[in-house]
Amino acid sequence: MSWAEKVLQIDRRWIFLAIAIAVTIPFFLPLGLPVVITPPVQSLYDAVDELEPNAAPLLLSIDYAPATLPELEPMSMAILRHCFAKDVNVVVMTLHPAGYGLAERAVLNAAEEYDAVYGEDFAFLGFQPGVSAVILGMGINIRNVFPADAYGAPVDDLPVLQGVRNYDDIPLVISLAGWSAAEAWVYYAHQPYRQTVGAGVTAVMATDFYPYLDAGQLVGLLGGMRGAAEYEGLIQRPDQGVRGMDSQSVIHLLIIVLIAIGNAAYFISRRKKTP
Amino acid sequence: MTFIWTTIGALLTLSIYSFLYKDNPFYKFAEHLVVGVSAGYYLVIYYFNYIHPNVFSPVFLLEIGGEPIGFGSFLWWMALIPGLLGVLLYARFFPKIAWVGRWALGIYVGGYAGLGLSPVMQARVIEQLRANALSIAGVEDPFAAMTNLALAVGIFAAMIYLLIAKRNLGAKNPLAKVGVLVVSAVVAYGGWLVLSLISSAGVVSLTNILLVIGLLGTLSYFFFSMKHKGILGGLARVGIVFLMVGFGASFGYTVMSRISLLIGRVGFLIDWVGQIRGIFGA
Amino acid sequence: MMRRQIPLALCFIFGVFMTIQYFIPHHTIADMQERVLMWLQTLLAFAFLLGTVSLIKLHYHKIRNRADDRGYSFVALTGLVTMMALGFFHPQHNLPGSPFSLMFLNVQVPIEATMFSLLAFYIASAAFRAFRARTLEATLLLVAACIVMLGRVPIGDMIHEGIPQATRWILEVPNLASKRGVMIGVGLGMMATSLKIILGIERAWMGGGD
Repeated sequence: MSWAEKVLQIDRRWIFLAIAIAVTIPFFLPLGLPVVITPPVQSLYDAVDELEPNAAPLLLSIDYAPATLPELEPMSMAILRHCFAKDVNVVVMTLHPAGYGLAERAVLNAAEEYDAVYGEDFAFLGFQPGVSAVILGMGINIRNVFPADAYGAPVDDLPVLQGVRNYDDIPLVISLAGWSAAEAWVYYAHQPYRQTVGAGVTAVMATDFYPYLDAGQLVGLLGGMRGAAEYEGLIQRPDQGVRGMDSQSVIHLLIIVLIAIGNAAYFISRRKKTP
Repeated sequence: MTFIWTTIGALLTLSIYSFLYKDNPFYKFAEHLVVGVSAGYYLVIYYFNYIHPNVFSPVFLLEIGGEPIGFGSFLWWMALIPGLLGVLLYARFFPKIAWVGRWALGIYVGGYAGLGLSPVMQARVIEQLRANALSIAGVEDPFAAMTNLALAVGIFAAMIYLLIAKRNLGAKNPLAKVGVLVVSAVVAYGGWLVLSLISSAGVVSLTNILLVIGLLGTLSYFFFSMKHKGILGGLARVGIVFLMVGFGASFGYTVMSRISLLIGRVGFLIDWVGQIRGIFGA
Repeated sequence: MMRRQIPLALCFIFGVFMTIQYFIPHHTIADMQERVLMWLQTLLAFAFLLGTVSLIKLHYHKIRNRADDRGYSFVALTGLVTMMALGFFHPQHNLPGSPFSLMFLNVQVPIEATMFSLLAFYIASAAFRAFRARTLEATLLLVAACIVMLGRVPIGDMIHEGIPQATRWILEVPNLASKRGVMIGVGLGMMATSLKIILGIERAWMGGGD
């Protein structure tokens, strides 16, 4: 067996080990590489930044499940911190049942950092099933869909939602999702009600969202952990996203090297077989 | 206390990673545990966030959001009927009466199909065609115009490739053909609206030509299943190039996504080790 | 009649109503729409819980039939019962810090998140084994993927400033074009499927039998 064939038949657990080492080392030896801001992230940041303080709230739909947590939770933290730092009111909800606990954790943690007051600066409406039915229903009246917040307090008792009836009173909706919920906001809030919508999605989904971005159906887009890292850079509060970028760099390089070795070994072994 | 919970999370995380070496009881334990726990979690969340306030409470406790309602009142019926329909879905577990579940399913399937029709057409078809048309119009910088033109050609080429490759629908049933005709008519109408909008804005004719080609190409999706020949075949080749570069971008992003998930978990484990060191003063 | 025609008729009526209500800006229609939306939500909630019943049935049968791996079925059912107990019998289960919430955040979240992160290892292994520049198309895909992988991480900027620029071009031109083509094609397919369902041509949702 030639060396090329040996390389091709390597036990995959060696590759697993290489990946594990490559992801861990940068945590202990940070490279501190700067993260350049891209236009889709900048435009979402600008849309949030332009919101009036202590006025109509941003509606943040935290629609992700644990499976996509590392990509999307840094986004919710960054956006919530941005809002609380600027005194922009936030209403949080979720279209995914698992989003209930994750949304609650994100908003309470961020609120604690900035001493934001529940009911006055932010509210958590909880979960409602039915995606499209929920989004359309909120276009008629939010109270029909969410008569009370997640803890049972009537929506009318929450100062942050006073005078907020439907999308006419919400300047911006942002959906953070690892599934089709972000698209559903485009279909059912942007199309029928012309609601301004922004999205944060996993990197897997991000390339599919460029048509919406280009057509103006989305005001901005965060794609994966890199998108979160850029947003963290914009609010000058580096956290999980920025921390992950060093490992991301190292592993991407490693995978490219693996692809190159795999191809080289494949073509060499094939040439030897067909003299 | 927090540390104990974090440790449980960390040990479960390590149990899952043990699968990388080979399948083992720790992995199987964690895998089955999460199936049960998540099902229980979802059940409770669905019940308390929706079924209790909107079905159970009005029907049995006679109140909605703390306000009393009358037994047999309009609101009572409006909570009871969907609740009963929901219960009908469970008839599937009893083969003899399984068919009753179809009544509820009919409303559900039809309702959601109707709900999606117009927004999907707007968001995925009309807006996309319009955005594409506008991107060529009114651009003075020749490089930008070339880029946009490439964009337009790429989209239509990719579509035509898909049309030929997919041979969608295969309408054998005459009723299906009616459905297809209706879709086509709606699409043609949408396209015509877009066209008139653009021509009224005095946009270059190139845009219109491309749009017409695109529209015809799109409609051919429903009517033809052709071979890769002639102009269509050439366009389809261009389409493949665009599709492949697009898939390449998707693959790169998919790698990025998966790696991010790993980074998140490794970060969690490293923080946990930090906590242990903090507690034991190492 | 009861078994096939009525479900089809209901499907048609609700489908047509939900399609046309967008075009009739009248408060009566809006009120009806509100009701129908709630009905759909209710049905979805009940439908979702069907899965839980199936899950219980599956594991119950495994235990009753003394299957070899019935121990794991016990684990699954114990997890389910524990969460239900913590949810239904703990009066403040919905508050942060409740045992219900802690179980979710420290059992369900880490396991689910980790399971999906395993894919990182498999995609790396697959890239090494299967990602070959055999044809022109495959080479295009491979080159685009490598440029994007480099261009979206900070180290790409360090190597050459052209890499992030090329990445941006790939995303905003060929990627956008092909994704838009797919989007329109799939969108038309989705519309056709919806129409077929509403018109009763597509009946797979009714299942078999009479």
